[in-house]
Amino acid sequence: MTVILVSSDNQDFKVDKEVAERSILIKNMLEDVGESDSPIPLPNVTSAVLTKVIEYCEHHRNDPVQVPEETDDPRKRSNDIEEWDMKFMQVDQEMLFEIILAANYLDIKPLLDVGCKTVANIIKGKTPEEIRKAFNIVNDFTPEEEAQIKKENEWAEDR
Amino acid sequence: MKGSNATLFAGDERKDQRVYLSYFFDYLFLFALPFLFIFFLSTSSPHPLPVHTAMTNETLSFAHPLSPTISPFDIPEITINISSYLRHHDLARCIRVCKSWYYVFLHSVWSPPPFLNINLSTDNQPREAVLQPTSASFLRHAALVRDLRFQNSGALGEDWFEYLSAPGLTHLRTLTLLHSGKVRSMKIVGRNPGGGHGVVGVEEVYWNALIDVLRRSCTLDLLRLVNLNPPFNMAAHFWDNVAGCGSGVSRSLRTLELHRFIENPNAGQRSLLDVISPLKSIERLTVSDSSLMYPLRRSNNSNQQQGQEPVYFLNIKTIHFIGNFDGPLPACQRPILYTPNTPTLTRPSAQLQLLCLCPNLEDITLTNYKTRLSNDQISKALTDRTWPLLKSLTLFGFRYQDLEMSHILLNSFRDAQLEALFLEACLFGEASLAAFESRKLFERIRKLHIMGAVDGPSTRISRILQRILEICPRLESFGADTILAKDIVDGQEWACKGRLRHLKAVIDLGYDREKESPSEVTTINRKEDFISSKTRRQRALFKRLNTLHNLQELDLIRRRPGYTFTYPLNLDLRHGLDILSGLRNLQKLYFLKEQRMTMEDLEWMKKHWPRFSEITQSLHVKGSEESEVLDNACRNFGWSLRPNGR
Repeated sequence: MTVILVSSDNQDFKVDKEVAERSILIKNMLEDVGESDSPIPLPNVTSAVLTKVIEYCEHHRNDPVQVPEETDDPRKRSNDIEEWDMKFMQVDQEMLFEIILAANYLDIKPLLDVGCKTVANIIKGKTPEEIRKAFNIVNDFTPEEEAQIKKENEWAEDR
Repeated sequence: MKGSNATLFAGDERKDQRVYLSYFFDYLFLFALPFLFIFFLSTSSPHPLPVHTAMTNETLSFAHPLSPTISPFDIPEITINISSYLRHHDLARCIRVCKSWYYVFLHSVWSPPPFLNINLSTDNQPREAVLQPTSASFLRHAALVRDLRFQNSGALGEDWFEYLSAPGLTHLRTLTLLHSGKVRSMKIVGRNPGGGHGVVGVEEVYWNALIDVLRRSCTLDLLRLVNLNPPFNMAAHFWDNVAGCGSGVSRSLRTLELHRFIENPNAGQRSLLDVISPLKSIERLTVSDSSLMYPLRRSNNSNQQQGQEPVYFLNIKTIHFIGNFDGPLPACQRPILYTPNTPTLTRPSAQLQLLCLCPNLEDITLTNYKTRLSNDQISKALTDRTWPLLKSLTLFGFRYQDLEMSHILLNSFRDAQLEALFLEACLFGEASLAAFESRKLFERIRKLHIMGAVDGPSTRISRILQRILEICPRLESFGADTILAKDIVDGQEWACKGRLRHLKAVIDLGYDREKESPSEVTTINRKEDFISSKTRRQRALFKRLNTLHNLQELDLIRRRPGYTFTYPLNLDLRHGLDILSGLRNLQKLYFLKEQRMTMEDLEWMKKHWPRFSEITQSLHVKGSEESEVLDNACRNFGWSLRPNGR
């Protein structure tokens, strides 16, 4: 059984129901609506992003449902991204952000997590200046402000 | 059991409410964030940061320079998700990137996950030179602090009072108070927080400040006291405020942890029962290294209470009693703030009596190496009643024999849905296995650890362990001392093979002593036969292990001291490592034996175990050039190296 998804720029995407249901938003929608052929509009997702998201869902269509794990170590790891996902995430930054936003909107937890891990990995171990460079951010602090923030939060940088 | 249905119901209803409440507080905090910043404005330091005055625009729209519309950093859920993968020092750098990031991440810096709680040490000479926030900085950010650990070792440093009296300290989620020194009394160094009224008893000042923190923190969920007991003249006041009495706060404290708690009602201290009675919301109680004497007697009107129906604690789901004394602590173990003249009266099984007041327990831990209780008392307390909700039981250090263990298994869990069982120094033999099977405990069990429990010949125990693995379909975590590879290879497939995530046991390539013992092997030929039979056995074993598709942790480190004959596994391609290509989820591999690995082995692991992240640091002969190269390769792969634990 297939479902038709419509992107914000009015493109139709025909996908298997099983694939579309990786998105909890769509899954709930389909459950609420019941049997229906009417296309599902996704006004927050462009066709470029939707193509990527569908590619992800196709690849992970048979994944078991994620069970939150109990571990002794509550620290979450970001270096356990699978190889395929890693390659999938090798996109420009605008696309990376768009994918994260789409995953959040469509409620695709594993994709959201991989996206957030990717962003975290970019941030990790970098100085503020390096982070600015990586994300193309302009430093809008005055030197005094920056010094003050550094002084007040220095204790945390030591950990 | 009397009234069990009604009590269960009451418990369930509360649970729903609690869930609601906890969500409510979680989200309340997010919504409250902007207001907190405004709060900063009003309490800002003498030289206020311009970022705070210029914030009105930024806080309302966290616009990211990259996209004119919306960025992931604008959405709190996403930011929280991202920051959960960052370490504390990364977060501290993020807030220096730009103004919008400052507002996005500041909360995570001051309210990191609980395991990173803000540690204020007020020692004059802190033992660990860990940086901590200055009191001025703490004062300004106190409203963001949710987890606070306050530590001192006797002498209080100069600004402890400023820390504790920060007016913004109103959103604490967990509070840990820790005394780490050996000095009998504390002295104030520097200024006198009492305001110049001459000598003020520092204990009183300190406890008054703590009480004040409790009053303000109505969201407190967890309170942990380590080596600290309020002095006798403050105890009632302190515990009343923990319960929220007197301050008008309706407290929702769910977890209380007491380490070195001294129960001494005769000297003004409260008994454990008195402490927890008014804490209606308490769900988890941990008491360790403490002296418990008066579980059933109220200190204030003990005479009236005797012979009356005891109070039941229906909300308590978890009790961990770890290494407690039933009676006064020996003098050498008493904490500093302990008031002497403890009566010598002891009431045995204080812990067990308290346990029996909690019919809805889901999780019981009894770790007891010092107790004067007999095994009989404990097993009687456990078997006297049923534990219909019990999911997890931990018994450490009781040295049960097989029959005693089987008695507990047979009688304690008639209706229980036991999912986790952790046994140490309890003998789990044939009788226990029979009880385990007849109670159908194997159907639900998810975690089973039987450590240091081997008493009889190891070969017999090994067969029992193999049998457990064959019959428990839901097992996710299994720990044991030693299993012989032979039993695994000759036995049936494990029922839990698709579920097992953690396997912790020495797997011994062992041998039938009579036939294979190397000491009896004289000719070179037979020795070679012996070696190749071991390799064959390892390969057969690997084929079995390779069916564990969800295995995340394989821990082959021996736990039981004194176990001598062991032929550990060789984890390299020459010995059939390539058979294990099905362990796609493996993340951690620990072993005791120094291996002889090569780069090829590591590359194979990297390729076939995509989630792999941690390995024992004995990849080659210690100190050799090869071992250094391999260690570096692991680091390049992003794997952690765990030092060999011996």
